[in-house]
Amino acid sequence: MKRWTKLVSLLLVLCMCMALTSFAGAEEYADVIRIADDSQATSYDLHKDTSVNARNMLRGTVMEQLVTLKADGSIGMELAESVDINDTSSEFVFHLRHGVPFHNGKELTSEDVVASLNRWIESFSTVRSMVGDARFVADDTYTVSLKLNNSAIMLMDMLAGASQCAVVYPSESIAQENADTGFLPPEALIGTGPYVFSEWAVDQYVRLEKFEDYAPYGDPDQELDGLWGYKHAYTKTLMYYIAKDADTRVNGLFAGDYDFAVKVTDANLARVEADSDYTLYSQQTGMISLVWNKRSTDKYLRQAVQALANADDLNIVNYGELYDNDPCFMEDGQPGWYTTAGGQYFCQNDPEKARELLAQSSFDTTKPLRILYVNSGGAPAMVEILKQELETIGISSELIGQDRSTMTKTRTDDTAYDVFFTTFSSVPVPSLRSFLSADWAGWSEDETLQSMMLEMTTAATREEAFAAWEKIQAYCYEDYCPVLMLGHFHQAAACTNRLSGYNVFLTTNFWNAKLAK
Amino acid sequence: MQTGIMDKGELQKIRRSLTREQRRVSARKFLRSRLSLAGLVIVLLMLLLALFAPVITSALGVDPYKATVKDRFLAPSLQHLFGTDNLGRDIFARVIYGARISMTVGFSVGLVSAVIGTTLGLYATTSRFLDNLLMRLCDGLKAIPNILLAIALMAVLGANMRNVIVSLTIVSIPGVARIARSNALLIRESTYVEAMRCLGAGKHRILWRHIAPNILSPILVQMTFAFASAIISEASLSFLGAGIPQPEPSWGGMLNEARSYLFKGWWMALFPALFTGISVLGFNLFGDGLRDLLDPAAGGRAVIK
Amino acid sequence: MRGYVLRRLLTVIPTVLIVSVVVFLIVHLTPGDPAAMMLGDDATVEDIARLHARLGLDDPLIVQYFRWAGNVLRGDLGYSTAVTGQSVWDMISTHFLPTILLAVYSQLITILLALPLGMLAAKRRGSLTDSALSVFSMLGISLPSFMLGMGLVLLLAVQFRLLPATGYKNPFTDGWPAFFRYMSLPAVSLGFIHSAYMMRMTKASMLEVLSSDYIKMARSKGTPERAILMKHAFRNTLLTVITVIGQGFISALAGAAVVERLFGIPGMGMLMVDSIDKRDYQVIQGITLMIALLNVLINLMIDLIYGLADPRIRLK
Repeated sequence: MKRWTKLVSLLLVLCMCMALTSFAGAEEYADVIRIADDSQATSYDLHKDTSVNARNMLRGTVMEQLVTLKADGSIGMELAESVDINDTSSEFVFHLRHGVPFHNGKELTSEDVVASLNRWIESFSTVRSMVGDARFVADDTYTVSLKLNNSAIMLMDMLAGASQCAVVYPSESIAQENADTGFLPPEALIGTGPYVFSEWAVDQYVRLEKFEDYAPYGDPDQELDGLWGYKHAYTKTLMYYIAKDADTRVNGLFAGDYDFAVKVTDANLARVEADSDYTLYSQQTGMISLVWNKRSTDKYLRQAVQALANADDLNIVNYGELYDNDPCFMEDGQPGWYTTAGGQYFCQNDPEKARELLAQSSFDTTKPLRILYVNSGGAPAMVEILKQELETIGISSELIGQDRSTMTKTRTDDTAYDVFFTTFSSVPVPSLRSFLSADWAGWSEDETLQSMMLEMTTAATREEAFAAWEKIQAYCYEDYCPVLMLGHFHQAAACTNRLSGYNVFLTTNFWNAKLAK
Repeated sequence: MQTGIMDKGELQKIRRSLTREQRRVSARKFLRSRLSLAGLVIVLLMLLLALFAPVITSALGVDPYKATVKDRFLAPSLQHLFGTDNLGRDIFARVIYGARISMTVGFSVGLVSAVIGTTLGLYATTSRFLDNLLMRLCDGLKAIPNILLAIALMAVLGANMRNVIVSLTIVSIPGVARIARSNALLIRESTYVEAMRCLGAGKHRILWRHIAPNILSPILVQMTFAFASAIISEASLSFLGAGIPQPEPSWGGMLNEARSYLFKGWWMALFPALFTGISVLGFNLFGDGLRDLLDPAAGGRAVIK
Repeated sequence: MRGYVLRRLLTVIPTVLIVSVVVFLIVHLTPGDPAAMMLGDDATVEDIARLHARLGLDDPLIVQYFRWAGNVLRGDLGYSTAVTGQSVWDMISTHFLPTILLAVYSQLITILLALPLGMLAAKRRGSLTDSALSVFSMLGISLPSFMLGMGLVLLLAVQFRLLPATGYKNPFTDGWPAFFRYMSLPAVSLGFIHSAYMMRMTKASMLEVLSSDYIKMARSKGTPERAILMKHAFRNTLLTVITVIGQGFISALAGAAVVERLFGIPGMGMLMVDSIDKRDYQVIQGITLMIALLNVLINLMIDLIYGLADPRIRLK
């Protein structure tokens, strides 16, 4: 009798196991992925809004570009099928893909591309100065071209990866531009991407719904290459909740309110790592630096501080584990521009050398060095450490902490500070590194540097441009020191293990993501 | 004649001894109430901490500003009584110095808003026009939420301790002014003041010599509460990112900093939180006792945050 | 009565005028540039300057003030620069509901907690319960709302996963159960400090009533203690309670900024703090105007209810 029951129960257990495995085979996925985003963009109009949040959420997802970035930094065709570029990189002819519908049902034609990209040029002064008076023109329904008087080797990079994205809206959207502000209203945020910008509840969430008529490109069996490739859009809805507080995002993830949390700070790393239900990953996202006011400091002072600084001590108090001491001014996700030229001068932690250099400087050590920074987040801690390091070579500091808006204003006043702390997000080409520009805050007006910059931007080939870039970086480290480069910060993100298929490149994309139920 | 003068002197003596007796009774009553006493002890302790912060920290060989990066997030130990923070600074030293900041902020806000508020309140009683003007101004200021007004002011003035004091003071003036005004109105109608006026005493003289001393009690009570709420407001301002900035060791700022490290170093939050709570508690208890003592008629707290 | 209400409403005008001038000046004196905030961190100096001019920010302050005031009188509060395409009116109306609901909910909790406890403390005056309650209320008053909120989140949301840590649900679209699940922690954090205060007030006014002659009279007539407490004393403490509720509502509106920030609730407080951060001039001005009006109206309502509840008070 007893044995009999045992056998039955054993059989029962076996049956249950089989049933379970067969269920597991037909995995089911959730309709919604809930993402905790850290802040809200002001407009989500990608031509004008340079915020990382707008770009990360919409580029390639809602709006697409003629061309986009591949993982190795090279350029892949998105809305364009092909492009013809002449030998001097001054004439560009784009052939558009046929039968690509916008979310409003209209088919993409050259008219939309011309209206969009000319608006993009108008609102992006860097490109404006690159192309001069030239504008895109429609050659026929599926062909657009741009003919310049000069060569513009970096135009393709700009089209693919600038922080003001060269996305294509339908021409009707462009016509809806607000007359006062020049931004597009939310209802005009229409594109050709796999998701529709369907609802923006201010300060609460943005809802992206799957676009059923999306026209994909690339090979469905291949993984995404950077931002390029076949987008399946497995999940019906992407919800981007706005959760400004880092703890809030992680608490919400643990409490099951979110499936994915962006910007997990160092303080929360350990507790996410400790929980095996969640996955954590990070990537180099931008550079950490102090930008010198070149009008109030001389290069010996700048070199002295570079010789003195201990990058680890400075970074660890803000970023914990989430940084590295890579000297390149570009990120490691951009192999096309990666160089360590001048890297031996990167924060040397050598007080002796610093004192020698300081002796050559005209800096008056009886006066304090004025350090400007945003007095929230991690900057105050870093600046405090820097202050204590500077004291060891006899430089006293005046700490000027301000809120972000005030600081952005103050840094344009050359009499108000000597150096300011900031981070820079990734840019597709080095010429967009604002601290190298003569008219951005800090004013890198040095003639040698500017002539090298010109050499790079007007180079006829990628190789020449890269050679010029290596020279620039080496010169910056060895001699001019426009910034005190401290390394790169990483951004960590965390998600539940039930999430798969998300694509990590510059940001995290959910085009092919699935969430197991 | 002689006896008359004698009588007057005698009377004065008796009156004086009566007041003394009354004070003694009240003081005993205050001391007998255990809660008020606890409040007094806490207040005194905090003031002592604030006064002797440098002595205490240097005796223990700790520095509130010195960052030692390799000593980040050390748990409380004999060497670091309250542990260290994210920069490797000694939290004990910072908390002790924090008492200095909190007491300075609380005291300055309490005192300055009491002085300005009382002046406004007193002069508001002198003419209908002034009354209307000042009270509408107070209404206007009161109609903007305190903490938001303070944030906006901090954005204009820039973040430092002086400006925190200035903005919290501006925010708490209307409350004091209203109390001063309503009490002054009551006293103005008293026969005593009426008599002084008939004797030909000047407007300012009446205000400052005869009315002001009589509204001192409610103002004093109000001051202790303003003190307490200034400490909380400073912490809230810091929480919203508009408080006294680093590296100054304000309790609110330390708490805000600690908020992101709750899982890495709970001691970073615990000690400033304890000190904030205890000192606010102390001032509230003290204020309560003081009110029972000086102003038994008034019920409840005059102002809330 | 009607004359009184009218006169009270008229005094709103100078108040609002003062608020608008003060806020306008503060906002425009603040360093920083809405145009820079609109274009993001990577924008060029040139593009920022172009937008700045386009927004009319190059005009003299006085011109800008009268332009704004004129528009307001015509019912146009202007447009947000921090969330482009949204009118200030849209911004306020979407952020108004969460704050009001939060304030009402927290007031409900306050009343439910404070009234019985306050009455209990008054009834058992001098007992251990009374001492325990007064220590409790003192602690409540001394605890900043964000410290309480942080503690609650760690305990109930992260440790025990009973309630969500953050977020907001609209009761009219997501249902009331969801609303209560999400808003309970914020409401408790916001209401606690106030319930401690209300408890003290209830106790104090209860004691005052209990020692009055007519209660003594009722006692001597042999009315049961329970009836005395509920019927006579309670009704008379209501006045105090009404005032406290009114004040609580106002301070909940103000204190909401901190709690909203902690719990990620898209309310007026958070909108205000964000707008200051992003120098969203017109939104700041619009909100303060609204809150000021609300403030004045609540105060008026308290006075009116006062008059209704206590016939001894005449409104003149």
